[in-house]
Amino acid sequence: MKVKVLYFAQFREGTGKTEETVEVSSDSSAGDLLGQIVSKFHSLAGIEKRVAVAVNREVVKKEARLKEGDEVVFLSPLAGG
Amino acid sequence: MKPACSITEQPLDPADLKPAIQDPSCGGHSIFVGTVRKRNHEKEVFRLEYQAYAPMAEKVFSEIAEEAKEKFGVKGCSIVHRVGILEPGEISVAVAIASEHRKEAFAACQYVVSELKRRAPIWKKEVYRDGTSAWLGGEENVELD
Repeated sequence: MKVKVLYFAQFREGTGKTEETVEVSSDSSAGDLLGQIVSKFHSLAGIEKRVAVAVNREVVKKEARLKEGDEVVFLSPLAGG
Repeated sequence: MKPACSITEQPLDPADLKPAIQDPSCGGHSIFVGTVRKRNHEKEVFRLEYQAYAPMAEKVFSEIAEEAKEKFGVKGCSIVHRVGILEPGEISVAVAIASEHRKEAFAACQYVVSELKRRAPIWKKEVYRDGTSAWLGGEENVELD
C-alpha cells in the first residue's frame, strides 16, 4: 500500500526531498516505515531513537499500523519558539 | 480577520495579534515575543532557518490555546509562529493572552510558550558565522515511546 511521507529538518536534508509517496507492506507500522527510510539514507543513521512519528497529524506509537493513504511525518527533535 | 493560531512566512508584528483576542470583559493582556538571539552555544549566529509541518503545528497551537482557556480561565489566546530564514533580532513567535485579570494572563502565557516549544512540529537550524550549523532541539519534546 502507499503512504505519503513529508520530510522536514534532518530528514529533508538527508533524503534531499520535501515529500514522497512510499510503498509499504500492508502490515507495516510507523516504526517499520521509519526504519525503512533511515536504512536508505546513510546520513540519517542512528536518528531513530530521537524521532517520534506523526500519522495524519497526530503523534502515534511506533507500533501503530499504517493504512493506505496515511500522511506520515518523522518528528526529529522539535525546536519551536 | 487572521486566524488566532497560525504559521506565517511574513515578518511578525505583535500588534497583529490583538484583533484575534479582543474581548471587552478582559482587563489583563499578556504578550510574549520570542526573538532570534545573536549568540548561542558561545557562537555568533548568522541566521536561523525555521521549518514547520504547518497543518499539524496550527492544530497543536489551537489545542494548546483551548487548554490554556480551560486551565486558567483566560478568554483569548493567539499563537503565531514565523518560518523561513530569520536573522538575529527578528521575531520568531508571538503569543497573546486576554484575561479578565492579570494573574491568569501571566500564568497562561507561560504555559502556552512552554507547551508550544515541547509539542509543535517546528524545527530550527542555527547557522553560525564560522560556517557551521546545527539543528537544535530535544530538551523538552514530545514523549518518544
